[in-house]
Amino acid sequence: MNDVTFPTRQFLRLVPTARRLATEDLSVLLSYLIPAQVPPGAVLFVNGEEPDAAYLIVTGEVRVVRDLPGGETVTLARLGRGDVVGDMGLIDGTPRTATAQVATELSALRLDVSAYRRLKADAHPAADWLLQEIDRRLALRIRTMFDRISRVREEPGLAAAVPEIVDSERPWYARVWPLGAR
Amino acid sequence: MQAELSDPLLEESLSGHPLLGRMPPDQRELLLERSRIRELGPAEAICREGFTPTAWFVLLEGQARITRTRPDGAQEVLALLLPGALFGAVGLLCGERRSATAAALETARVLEIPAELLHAESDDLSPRLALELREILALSLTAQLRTMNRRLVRLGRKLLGESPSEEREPEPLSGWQLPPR
Repeated sequence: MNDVTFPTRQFLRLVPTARRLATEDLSVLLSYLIPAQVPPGAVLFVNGEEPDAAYLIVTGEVRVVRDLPGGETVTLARLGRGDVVGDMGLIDGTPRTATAQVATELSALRLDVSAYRRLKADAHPAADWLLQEIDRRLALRIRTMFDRISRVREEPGLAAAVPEIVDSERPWYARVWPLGAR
Repeated sequence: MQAELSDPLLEESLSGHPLLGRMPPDQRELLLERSRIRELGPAEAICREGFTPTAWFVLLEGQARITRTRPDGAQEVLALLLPGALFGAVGLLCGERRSATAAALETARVLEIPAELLHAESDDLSPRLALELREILALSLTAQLRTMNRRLVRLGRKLLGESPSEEREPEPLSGWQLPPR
């Protein structure tokens, strides 16, 4: 928990769905969110690192980038106010697969992996809300991804590659549970 | 068709599922009590595009396919599902109608999990069950996004002429590398 908590009214403007939380549960959630100021050019995390936190952006811009062969980088996403960065690592604990660079002066709320696990272990209502919010955001991203794949199909040079995205290998769950419910 | 659910073999089998197997046994039993099993024939729809979602699913046996209708009326395949797949949750979580149809490719069995189990406050359910299910969905969606990202990066590298041996992306959640409970 931190000594200085982010103001409740500002938080509710940033994430309106948090209105579902009771006042005392919202206070507990805010006590776990650490305000952070990060200058432009700094990185929140680097590709390959173990995940340690997720960030909710209050103001500023974060670019999610990947290195390409030849030393170039490609920007995968530009995130701003109200967006979350680093949530996938928070959920599955897998090393980062991209780098998060601060593009303009960043004000953010940081949730450490350890704090997230503590809330979850306590089955705290704030953990339930947090997971609802993360689920919703992940689902929206998947829907967007499917829309992008549909657009790729319309590109004459790329359409042939789509099966590779959709069905190129045995999925992870099927390797772990190869026989199904038999 | 709805099958008998009191199936100890199913409970035992689900304990080996990569995500449902993480649940405490009493919560998994509660989940089975509150869900239903559907048995499907070849090409039978599990859920349909355009409908309001009321449940999500785990494919227990057989294969299934997710398709959606393109603006020109043609069907496009979004995913092929094997036993173990969790699906049908995206529309539910986005609060929108289903954007795709899931149908069995052959004789199949699915566990149909009612949407209300995701809401701890909805009835006398243990709040723990809703939390467990929300985390399972988060893990499943994250794995799905990581897989799609990984394949897109691999495709991009291929288009740039890089050889497959330079593949550096690990498969998500491989080898039971799931986070601690």
